[in-house]
Amino acid sequence: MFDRRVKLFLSALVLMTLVLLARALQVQVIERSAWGSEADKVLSTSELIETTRGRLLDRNGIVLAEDSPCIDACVDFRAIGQIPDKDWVDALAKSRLRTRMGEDYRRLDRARRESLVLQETEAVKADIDTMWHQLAQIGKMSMDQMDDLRQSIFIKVQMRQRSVWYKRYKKAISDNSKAEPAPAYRRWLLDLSQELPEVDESFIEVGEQTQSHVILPDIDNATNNLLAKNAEHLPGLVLRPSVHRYYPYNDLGAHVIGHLAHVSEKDISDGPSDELREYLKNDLIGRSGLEALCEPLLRGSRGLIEHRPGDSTKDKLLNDPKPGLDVHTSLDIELQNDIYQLFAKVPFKYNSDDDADKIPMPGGAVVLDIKTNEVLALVSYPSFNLNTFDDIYSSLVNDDVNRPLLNRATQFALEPGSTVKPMVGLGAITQGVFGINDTVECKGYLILNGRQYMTEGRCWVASMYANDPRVTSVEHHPIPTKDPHPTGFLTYPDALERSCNVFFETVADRLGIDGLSYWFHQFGLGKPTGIGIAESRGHVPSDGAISPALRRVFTWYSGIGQGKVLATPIQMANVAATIARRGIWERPHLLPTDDNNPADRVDLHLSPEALDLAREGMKKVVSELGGTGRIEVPDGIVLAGKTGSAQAAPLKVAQRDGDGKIIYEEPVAAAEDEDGAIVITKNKVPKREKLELGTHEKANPVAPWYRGTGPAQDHISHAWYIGFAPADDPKIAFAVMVEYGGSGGASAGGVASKILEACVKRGYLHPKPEAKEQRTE
Amino acid sequence: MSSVWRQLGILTNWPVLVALAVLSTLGVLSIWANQPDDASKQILFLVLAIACMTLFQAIDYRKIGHFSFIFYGVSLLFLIYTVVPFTHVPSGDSRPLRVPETHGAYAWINFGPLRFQPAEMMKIAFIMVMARYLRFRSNYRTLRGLLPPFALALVPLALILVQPDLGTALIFIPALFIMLFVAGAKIRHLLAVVALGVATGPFLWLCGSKENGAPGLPVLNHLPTFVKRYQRDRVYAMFKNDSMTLRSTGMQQHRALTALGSGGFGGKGLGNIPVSKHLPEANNDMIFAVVGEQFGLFGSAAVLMAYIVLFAAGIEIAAATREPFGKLLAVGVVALLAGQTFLNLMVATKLMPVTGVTLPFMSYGGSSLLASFMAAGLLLNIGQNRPLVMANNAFEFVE
Repeated sequence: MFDRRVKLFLSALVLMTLVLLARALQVQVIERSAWGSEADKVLSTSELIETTRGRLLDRNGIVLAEDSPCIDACVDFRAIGQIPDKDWVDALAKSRLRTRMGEDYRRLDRARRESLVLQETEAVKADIDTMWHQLAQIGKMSMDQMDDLRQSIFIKVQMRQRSVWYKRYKKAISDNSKAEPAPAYRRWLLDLSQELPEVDESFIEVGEQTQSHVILPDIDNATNNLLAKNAEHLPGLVLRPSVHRYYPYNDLGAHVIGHLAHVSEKDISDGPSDELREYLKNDLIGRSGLEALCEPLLRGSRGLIEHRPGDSTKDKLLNDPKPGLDVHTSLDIELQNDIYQLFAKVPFKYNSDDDADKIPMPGGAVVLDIKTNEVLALVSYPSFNLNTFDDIYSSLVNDDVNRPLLNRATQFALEPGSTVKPMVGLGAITQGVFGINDTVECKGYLILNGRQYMTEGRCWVASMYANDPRVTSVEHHPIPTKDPHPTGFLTYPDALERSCNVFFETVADRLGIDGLSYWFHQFGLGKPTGIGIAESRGHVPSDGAISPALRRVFTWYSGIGQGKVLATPIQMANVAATIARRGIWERPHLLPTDDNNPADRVDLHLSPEALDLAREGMKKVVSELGGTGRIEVPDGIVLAGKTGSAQAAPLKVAQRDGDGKIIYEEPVAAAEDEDGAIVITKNKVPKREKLELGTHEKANPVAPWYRGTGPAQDHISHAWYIGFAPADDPKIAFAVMVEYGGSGGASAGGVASKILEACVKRGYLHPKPEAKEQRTE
Repeated sequence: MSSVWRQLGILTNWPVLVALAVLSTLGVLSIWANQPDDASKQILFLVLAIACMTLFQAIDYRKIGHFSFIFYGVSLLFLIYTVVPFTHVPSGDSRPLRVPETHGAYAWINFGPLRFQPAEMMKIAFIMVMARYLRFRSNYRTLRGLLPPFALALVPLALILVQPDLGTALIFIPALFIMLFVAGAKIRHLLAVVALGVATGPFLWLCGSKENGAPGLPVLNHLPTFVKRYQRDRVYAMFKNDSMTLRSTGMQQHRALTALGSGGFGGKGLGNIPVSKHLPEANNDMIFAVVGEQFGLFGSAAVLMAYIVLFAAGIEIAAATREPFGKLLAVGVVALLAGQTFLNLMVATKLMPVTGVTLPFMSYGGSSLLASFMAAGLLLNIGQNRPLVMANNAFEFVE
């Protein structure tokens, strides 16, 4: 029985062996080729091919930003880690020895050869170390910065490994079911400190592990030659042709074109998760202006190449790299240039064309095309050179006098002054609180219900000429003496022409602070225009709490664009455009679009009669002797304009010590922590001091443009000029703001006048000969 | 002394030794191809294991047999030591006499720089105690008499399942049945037990709540979940070839087949194992694939031949020995080794779900190697002590 059963057992064992043998035969012989290609799949590595970013073009196809060829100094990944890859260093040492010694090397006995290799390995390691110091020196980096850079490349490659794994995982999931991958995986992808889930992650190799990575982008010719000559002692260094972002116009339109910066963790996590489009560490992303706005279009798709083991001829291009798209913007770079140059020579005397009376002034200007509401020019002065932005960034950001990084056209909200007056009248008439034929008597001071407000409601005539012996009375707008107002009872157009404060304070009082805010808001104040680049929303009176006692006074002030109303040049240009379009508000845009989004085009349903009056008044501002904005206008063009001079706060800058470091306020708040130690809870507020106000004769050397106006040269105000032309068939609208430019007519008006000239030159305005006669001389 | 030499040399079973040499050489070569450092350690273990084999060969197995129950008891104590929670430490903790977590199980005890797996020792102790228990009895031919042998198997098995190490636990079952079978237990009894087992299988599979991966059937979902989620996944992975499975649970077996298959007929050559470099546990559970990748069908066939030679030689020894303890012990050794071998090879060739047992004589690791060579030592020992016993042939019953 035992023998029989043990034989049965043996037969079972033989049977099992035969089954396994058959299985081995099946896998190793019959299915051999299938498993062979499966093996190729396991062993193949993929590598991304970088692509180029699309160009930014102006409306005429002129290049504003492009990727231009350059040479990058790159280093092999295996030399980037803090400890260079052992096998790689070994191979390098051996190849160096073979080149140096030729046949002799092979003839050496083994022990000798090994000791030589060991020596050479040390030499290679020392060379790698020296190379990093040299590269840091060339790149003007500290060794710490260089180490950070190396670390970030290291992390990038690890991240990419994970990302490759994740892509496969996700594909597998989507093949398998519709279930979304667990969020844990996404977290793990973004954060190296996360524990990995049970995966075959460690078995994924990516091509980047054997490739070179950019250390110094865009090196100059001399450096290139130096490094190339010394190549033998720079292990792993590769001088690779590449591209870098080039801005042909340097500082022109820098604010609106914008700049690129390295991606942040947030960009990576918020960005696309597609392997070919996702952001990797060290990638560049549009950080401001059009570069940021058009990021999805400009950014290309990477290519993907698959390396087959051992045989580079089997490399397979899985995806072609797709360059980013070229983006046509609405800007006219020539017009932009013309206007930008104007700020370098802002006249400070009324209608003066003498270069001696002109100085560079900070400010902003926007020109809009009425028909499409495209931005033709968006100027902020002073600007900065985009090509050297990274190098000079710290000096730019520390310049708190000139603030070159501030986009004054969109980010700088300040009191618009009298430029709000057309809006106040339009709102009041449309709302019915003021009739089209109604008048207000200006006695120099605001009079409501028989009470005269001597300080709170003065007309500018009163504040400027009250003590002037040449003027007997400030009543009824006697200025200019050649053309005083005939009655002193001003209609809406009269009030615009003479920019009468009393008139608009009276009207604002009737609208009330909420009515006023409503109309400002309707015209686009107190909210971003949505142009797509960084901007300030500004302020309307109802945005903040006002104590009931001051409510009425602020209503009057706001009615003349002071106090509780703030606006940016782009907002004010759009106000002019809205009036020019007869009450149709449109969102300004930097990219040509045929978008029909109703939110981008709003009819304010303004009274047509009021619009006629507003246009009449704004024309008279320019054409009549009594007009406050009588600027030079190109022949054949009729301009409807409005000046503004907004009382400005004195310029304050951060105090600095002898080394130029900012001095901070004493800690304003301190608290005890758990251990009883005093902790400063609120500091880092720079100590600010008023900058000394200059005069025409004695400019402040720190800020020559910061000077007073008025008889005593102690009056500080920002100058505005908004308008549209031609007045009866508007083609363009614009706003000009000159920071501390004094009265609107002189500085801003001077710029506005030249903007019109430039618009004629660039073909946006076509002069009509008969138009000239309308102007009163 | 002379008897020791005779014991070692003169009557040594050469086919067994050749098979062992082939297997351990292929094992070391494969480990070397993958991890040269581990290969030198494996050679050290081999030396130790061969010494152990010699020891088990040199002392007459009947003398060793006297200690069967003591050996079994000590092994049981070690097993209990691994399952009591206060000895447990997280993985990586190498303090002596602690039980660190390894691949989710508490199966190893630290001993200074080395670690030791009591379950491996238990396997040897189990076949010895079985042979000892069954040798002069016949009561296991009744259903009630089957209870003690089953208890001898189920106690350690349960402890190993608690660790939990399903793979090692599984090895006890074929050894138990085969030993009972050749010892002459009634086939209908054994079949009844098998039938019972087969019937409970699906029941255990279906028990448990949906959250734990079970189908979540009514009533059954209130019972505890016996089959863990990862175990279910491994079973599912057998039958799924979608890329999701092949990237996760099914990856190891798929890679093993890739390594094996891409080795083809002639293999990629000694030390050339590009795919196996990407194979998890290539040194341990999947070493068959590494051999197959290097040496192709020649390699895998050589491994299978060596095993069948070893098993056949073992069965020849069992048949030729007249002493009942030796007879049964030889069968036990073969059953143990064969069970483990086929379990491993079927996993490596994707004929059954992943369980995680080592390949005797080949896989990297001291405990496994030591246990396998001990067993081989016992086999050789029985082979050269074929005493004349004046008795009826053992285990011969009239049906």
